[in-house]
This record gives sequence, structure tokens and C-alpha cells, in this order.
Amino acid sequence: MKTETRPATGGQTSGKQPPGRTRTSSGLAFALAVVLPPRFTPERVRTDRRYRTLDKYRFIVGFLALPLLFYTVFVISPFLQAIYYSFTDWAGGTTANFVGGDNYVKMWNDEKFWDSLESSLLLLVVVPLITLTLGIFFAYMITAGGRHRRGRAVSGVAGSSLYKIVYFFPQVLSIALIAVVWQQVYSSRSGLLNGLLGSVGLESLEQRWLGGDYKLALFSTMAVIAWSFVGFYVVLFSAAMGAIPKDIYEAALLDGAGRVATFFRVTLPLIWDTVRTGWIYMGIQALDAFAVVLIMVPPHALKVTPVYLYERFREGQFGYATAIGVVLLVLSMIFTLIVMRIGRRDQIEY
Amino acid sequence: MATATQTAGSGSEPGPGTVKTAPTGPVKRSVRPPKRTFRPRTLVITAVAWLLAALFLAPYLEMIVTALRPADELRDRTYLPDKLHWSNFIDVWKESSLGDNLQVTLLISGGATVLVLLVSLPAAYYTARMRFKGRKWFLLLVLVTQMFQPTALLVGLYREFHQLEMLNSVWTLILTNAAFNLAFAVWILTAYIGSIPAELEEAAMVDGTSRFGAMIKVTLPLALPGVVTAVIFTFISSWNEFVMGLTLSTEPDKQPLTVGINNFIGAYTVQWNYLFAASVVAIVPVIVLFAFIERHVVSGLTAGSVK
Repeated sequence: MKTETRPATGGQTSGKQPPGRTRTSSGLAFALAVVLPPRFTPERVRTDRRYRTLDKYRFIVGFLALPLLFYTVFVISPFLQAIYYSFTDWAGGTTANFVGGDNYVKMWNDEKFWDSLESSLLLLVVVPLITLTLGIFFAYMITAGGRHRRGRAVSGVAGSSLYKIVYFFPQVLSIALIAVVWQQVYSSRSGLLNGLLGSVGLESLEQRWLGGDYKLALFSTMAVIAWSFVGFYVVLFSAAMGAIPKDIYEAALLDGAGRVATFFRVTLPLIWDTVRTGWIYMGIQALDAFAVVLIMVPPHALKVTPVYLYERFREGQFGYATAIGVVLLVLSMIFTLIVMRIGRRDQIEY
Repeated sequence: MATATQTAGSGSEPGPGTVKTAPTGPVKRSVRPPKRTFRPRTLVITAVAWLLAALFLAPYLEMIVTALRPADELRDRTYLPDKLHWSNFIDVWKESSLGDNLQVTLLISGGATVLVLLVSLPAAYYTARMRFKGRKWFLLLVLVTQMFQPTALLVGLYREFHQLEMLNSVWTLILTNAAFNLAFAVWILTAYIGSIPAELEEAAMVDGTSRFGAMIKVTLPLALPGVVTAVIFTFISSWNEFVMGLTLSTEPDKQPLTVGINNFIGAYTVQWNYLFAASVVAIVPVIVLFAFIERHVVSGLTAGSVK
């Protein structure tokens, strides 16, 4: 706390602060003012100009310190620890010997790791494409797919808010529950899917969706992830589309643009920023398809990298598991940078 | 750029009967409306939309039907059980630790939500109102933390709580859930508060209210839709959290409901009827909450995305 006392000559303070105050009592009053709400702060302190500065810094400390603490303890620190422990042979006990890049060398030579990474990368590339395409399509149908009503250039299909709720539904469910439900739907003996195929006379198409072929299991997993996230993007994109001024659609309509042309020339460029953000988010979610694969898919059919990490963690190979975690984080950062770069376009203000 | 309040007011969907569009009607007469004839294409689109909606709802139906199925009909291929077996719900309660799990989940979700609100609201207020050094860095940090996958941080977090001897504690899961949802809450609230004119607060401060008082009495009520969105999002995502619950708590009665449900599968015969009865219990609160705030979710997402 500064002890310098400004001579009370300012217009504001001169009347209220008696001239003979000692430095210490003023300092004490200031120290108290840090914790006191303004109402209980003595007026002579409150009208001092330094109180403004105090008020400002009190705000910074009080308002931003807690979130920063949270990030430091629960996000930054585990992240840094993960980097450190990925260079050790920590196995859960008290000792963790520094082993250099051994874990990474092991990973490089680990056939099973590469297999899991292949599945994860396929999810990373394919799932955002499916989900975003479906999301944009549904959102466009909802906001602009309806027939032209009087006096309006665009309108949604009838009952659009109902569809939004239905599509958004899976998003509010736990991914663990989703996996449980879909496991039953895919079940080869009593599942809904095979049952439906059977009841419409397509018994030949009945499959062991999850437990058999790798490709089929991967495809089934992709379908579930896409199913659970499409709704989020429908809501997100239809919100972004709703923010586009109607005059732009009217102008396009006057120029004779059909629905398809309007979509590619007007809607998509205008919501592109949102699409890019969604793309990154979806990619990271797909790369982290942990719960779905762990719960739903039998381990012999398909394994993604996060599940592989979790298995090593359960075996107590903590050092190796963190090394895999670091690789996953690096991958998601590279993915983000790539999408940011190839998705860059001129910003359109409207 | 549209502000949050605008989009919240007009709604994102231009449904019929929106008050806002009524006055602009006469001006837009110049756009000649096409004739209102019956078009088969509309019919096809509607049919496809309904089919897709059914596809989206089918798994829930499966879940509810299985939850009500008697145990001896589980392997049957009939879709509706002969009689609805409501006692599954009671049995699952008596025979498993799901009651404890539900309690743990309630504590975690409630605790994390309160914590997120207490931490994110001041931070968002400050970030929205002040131009301070490091503001960009703070917002970047918020964005980057949203990018981290929990699975990749799993071992680091485990190590941390292991050292603190806080494994198997409800607090551990409250804190981690709060930390993971903080970014989203700060992000949404910053956008929301940023769209409320600062002049309102300044006016209150001229009238003698402190900055804190202005924040509580003026800004907070106006930002309420954003606050509700952040609260419910945090609650729902903590309610649904799986990975941290699985790793950071190992005792069955200290685990959240999602992990408890997963434990059913680990057992060598899966009792699907019990499993799905438990699942129905797990989703009901979430669906009730969601129905409650569906409108806010949409406007809240807009505030987050457009800004």
C-alpha cells in the first residue's frame, strides 16, 4: 500500500478530509477499503482520487483471479504435467524416472497405437463432413426451405421449431447413454435396426453392425456421433442464418435466384465463420470419440486412440498414456490450424 | 453484425405470426408472391422431414419400450411387450447403487453450476465492460481451453487429485466439471453482457450507485436470459459427464449416474430392461430442463456465435 498522502487541495476532497490526518490512519482506511463494500467505506476515502485506482484493481483481482485460478489448476497444470510425465516411466507410485523420449519411441513402434490412430483420424476427417453437411442442410430447410409466403422472401418449413427440438434432443443426453441406447439398436439379435430390416423383408441386409467387420463398426460409430451432434449444428446454423438480413434474400429473389443458388451464393458465404468454428469443434469431438467407442463397440472390432490411451491408463502405464494424450492434443491443434487456414475467407460484414 | 438482443427478440426462425414482421409487410409488396398452389414437392419435403424426425426419435422409443419390458421377453423380436412392466423401475432402484449414483450426480451438477455462475459472471462482466491489458489473451485462453479434450488431460488430472488425496470425492468432480464448463459460460455471458448498453449502468452510477450495485441491479436482470442459458448448459453437461466420473472416482457408490449405468454393461449378463429403466431416470430431469429453456438455448447460442 502506498503511504504517500496527497495534500488535500482538490475541490472534491478539501471539504471532507480534515487537514491534520496522519499517514497511517489514511493507510489503514485504505487497507480497510479493499475489503469493505463502498457503502461502508468512509466518505473521505471514497472521494479520494486513489480510491478510483483501488476500485479498478480490486475489480481485476476479484473478477478475473478466480477463473484464472481455475484454468491454471484444472486445465493448464494437468496439461503441463502431462507433458512432463510423458517423458517419465511413472506407473502410479511415488517414483517417476525421467526416461527421455522412450514413450514416444515406444509409440512410434506400437502397431496397435497406429491402428487406433488410423480410426481416430478417419473419424476426424469424415464425421465433421457428414455432420456439418446434414446440419447446414436441415438448418437451411428450417429457415428458408418453406414455400414463399406473401410478403416474405424466405420462410421455413411448417413446424420448424418442432424439428429443431427433435434434432437437438440427442445433444442434451449423455454421450454414455447414447452409446448404451445405440448398442441396443445395433444389437444383432434383438436390435431395432435388424428388426426393422427384417420386418420390411430385407433380411439379407441384416448385419453384425458392431461386433464383426472393422469398416462396418467404424461406419456405425460415425453414424452415432453424427446423429448425436447434428441437432447442435442445426440450431447453431439456423441461428446464424436467422441473423442474415431478409433484404439480402429479397434481392437474390428479385434477381431470379432459386433456392440452390441462394444457398450457395448468399447463405453459405454469410454463415461461413460459424461453419468454420463448428467444423473445428466437431473435429475435436470426433477425435475424442471416447465414450461412444468405449461403451458401444466391442474392443476387438474397433479401437480409437482415446480408448487406447484409457486402456494403458487402466494398466498403470501412466507415462505412456500421457504421451498418447500429448499426441492427441498436438493433433487437435494441428487440425485447428489447418481448418483456420483453409477456411479463411474475406470477412463479410452485414 | 446482429446483436444478441436483436436475435433473442426476433427469434431465429421466421415463423408465421411474428409480431416484428407485421409492420414491414406493406413495404415488401414489391416482391410478388408466387401463387399458392398445391405443390407435390412440399409434400415430399414434409414427408422426408417427418421420416428424419422419426429416425431421430426411434432410439428413445427403443429405450422406453425396453425399460418397460419384462425380463423374459428381452430377446423377443416383438416391438411392444405384452404388458408394460412398470416394476422394472422399482427393481432397478432396490437392486443397484443407482440411488447413490443419482444423489452424487445431483450434487455434482448443482455444485458445478453454482460454482460456474459465481466465477464466470464477474469474469464475463469485467471482460465485456473493460478494456484492460491482456483482455485478448484472456479471451484466447478461454477459447483454447474449450479445445482441450478431457481424455487427453485425464492422466494429468488424475495425478493432481491423487496427490491431493481427493480421488473419490464429490468435490473433485464438482471442481473439474466447473472448470470444463467455465469457458463456455464466460464466452456466452461476455457476449450477452457486451450487448447491454453500458450507458444504463453509467446512469445508475451517476445516481449514486456503486459499480457493483450497478452490476447487480441494472446489468444482471438484463443479462438474465444469458445467465439462464449458461446455468442450464452447465447443469446438463455436468449431469451428462462421463470421462472424469469414470476416472476420478472408483468406488461404485461415489460415481455419477452415467458411470453407474455403464457399470451395468460390465456385468456379464446385461439386464437391458434395468439398464434402460435407469437411463430413463437419468434423462428425465435433463429433458424437463431442456423443454424449459429451449428458447433460451437458441438465443444464447446466437449470442455466442454471432459475436
